[in-house]
Amino acid sequence: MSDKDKKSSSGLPSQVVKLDELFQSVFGAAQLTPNAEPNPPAVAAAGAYMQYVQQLIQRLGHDVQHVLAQVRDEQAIARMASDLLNAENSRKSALQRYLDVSAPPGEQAGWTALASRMRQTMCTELEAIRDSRLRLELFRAELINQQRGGITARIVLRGGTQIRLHFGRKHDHAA
Amino acid sequence: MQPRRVEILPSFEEAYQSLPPDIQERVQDALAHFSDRSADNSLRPELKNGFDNVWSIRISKGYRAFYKKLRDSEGAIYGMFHVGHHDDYRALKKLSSKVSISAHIQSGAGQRGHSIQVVVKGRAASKNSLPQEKQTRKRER
Repeated sequence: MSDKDKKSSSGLPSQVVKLDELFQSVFGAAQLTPNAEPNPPAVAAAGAYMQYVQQLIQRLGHDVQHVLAQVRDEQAIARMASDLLNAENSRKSALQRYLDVSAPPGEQAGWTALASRMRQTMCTELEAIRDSRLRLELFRAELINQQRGGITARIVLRGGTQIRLHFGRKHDHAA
Repeated sequence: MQPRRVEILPSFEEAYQSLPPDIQERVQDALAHFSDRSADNSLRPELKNGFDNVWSIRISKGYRAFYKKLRDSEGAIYGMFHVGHHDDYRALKKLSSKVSISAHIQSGAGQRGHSIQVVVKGRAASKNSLPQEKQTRKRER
């Protein structure tokens, strides 16, 4: 199995480049020499990261499709969604300091432009994980509604009658 | 303006029960405002791209309520079916075009990595206080 095919415990593909080194070098250079042309190794590494994100999107899409087609156990789907939420939080935590940095608008060239593209790619990576989790959660919601059926409560009835919900912590809500 | 007819589905209630109490309170406020149509600017109803007739409203910075817009003979029904985590990465993508940010990255001997200070509109901001969040809170007030 090649590095590209490896999966982490969360089911996500392994990263193919040392991202933290890449991010530090690109964002550091973007501050020191913003308009200089990026060196070829950095451009290549950035390209590998973008490819990794594309691969991640495809892998997640495939895995989610498989779940939607095959799995009907809502608890299992909840665990998968939880794994994805943990993966998203972990990646977001690692990327946060780079996501917080961007160049002033209209002055993007050289290293700054590369840093901006990488920042967009980071957001795309996080969005891909989030949307996959959301697909699982929404599918699980459909399963719950099919199994339990009906409407729990209606908040507003057309014609002016309003029912205010008071949710309880232990299913003791009343309309 | 007629109030919205909002239906709470079992899946929404289950998701609600797992939320922290402070978020539960926000959910109740948001649903009341949503049905009253009294705070659509802060709720920001939006159609979720790539999902089948799924809309979301904003509960807090990191939470969204999800619903489907249905119809019957009396008009639209808003079927709330999920509430949960939802970080808005589009806001991060848009950030660079809305604010002027400069970053100072320092790399010292024996110091692993870089320290980053983000300066937003002339004021230092911690990495956890994005300007987008500040602007949103101001709008909500």
